[in-house]
Amino acid sequence: MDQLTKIGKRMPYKVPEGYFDNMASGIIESNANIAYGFAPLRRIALAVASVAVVLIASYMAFDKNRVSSSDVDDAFMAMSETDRYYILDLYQNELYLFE
Amino acid sequence: MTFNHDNILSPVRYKQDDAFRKLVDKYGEALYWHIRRLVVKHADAQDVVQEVWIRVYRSIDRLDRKESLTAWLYTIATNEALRSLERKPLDAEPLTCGVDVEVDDYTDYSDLEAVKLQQAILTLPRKQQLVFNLRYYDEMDYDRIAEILSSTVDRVKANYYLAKKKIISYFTDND
Repeated sequence: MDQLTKIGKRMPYKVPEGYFDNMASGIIESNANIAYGFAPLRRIALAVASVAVVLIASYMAFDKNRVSSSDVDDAFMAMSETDRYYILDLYQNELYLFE
Repeated sequence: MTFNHDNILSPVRYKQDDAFRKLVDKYGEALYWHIRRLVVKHADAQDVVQEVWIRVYRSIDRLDRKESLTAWLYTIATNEALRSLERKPLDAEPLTCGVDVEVDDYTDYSDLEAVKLQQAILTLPRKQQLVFNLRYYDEMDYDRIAEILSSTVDRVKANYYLAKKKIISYFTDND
């Protein structure tokens, strides 16, 4: 037991200088990237796709003969699952999209 | 400001960065050391820490108000550290290969006694390692440790007793 008392909580491990000071910022930044989970180019592509869906929806509102709601559904379903979740997440408060 | 369930968890439920930062500020360092003692290398600990906070960020909504925040965080950290160790090849366990082998820039091999204690801890079965570390370094009571490890208080006490005994034997055998 003497050895333990003598060593106490001393450990041979070290961390880079300032590691704990920057820990919270680093984690929050990484989490934010992961939460949105998209690289810049992918974000642009998704933004374009989102606009396209909105435009189709708006166009449909003016000319119901040319584009039906099923066209929008088809276009939406043709997107990848990730993209669909992104759009749903992005427009979750825009109730008119789901009318 | 005192930290309790209410003033940390209510804002965290809305995943506000400010509240999350408070959580990392309060528990970040302790969780890092808990993980580091298990995975040994700083780079590995850093990866595990990142995983832990991602999990916390994503699942904080599911935390039961009756559940202990500390126990919940330590459970996630423990599970992630163990997962990381499972992914490593068996011969990659550092520190056990001798005090004169440099495996990490962030290990001070000049403190021979401290290195030896860590070596002794690393020879223990995983459960005993966890119990010893949580009791000895984090000064947790047996109930809390039992909660983190999903065990009973009696088993935790037995594991701590065995761990201490083996560590003392290790020092005697490697004198």
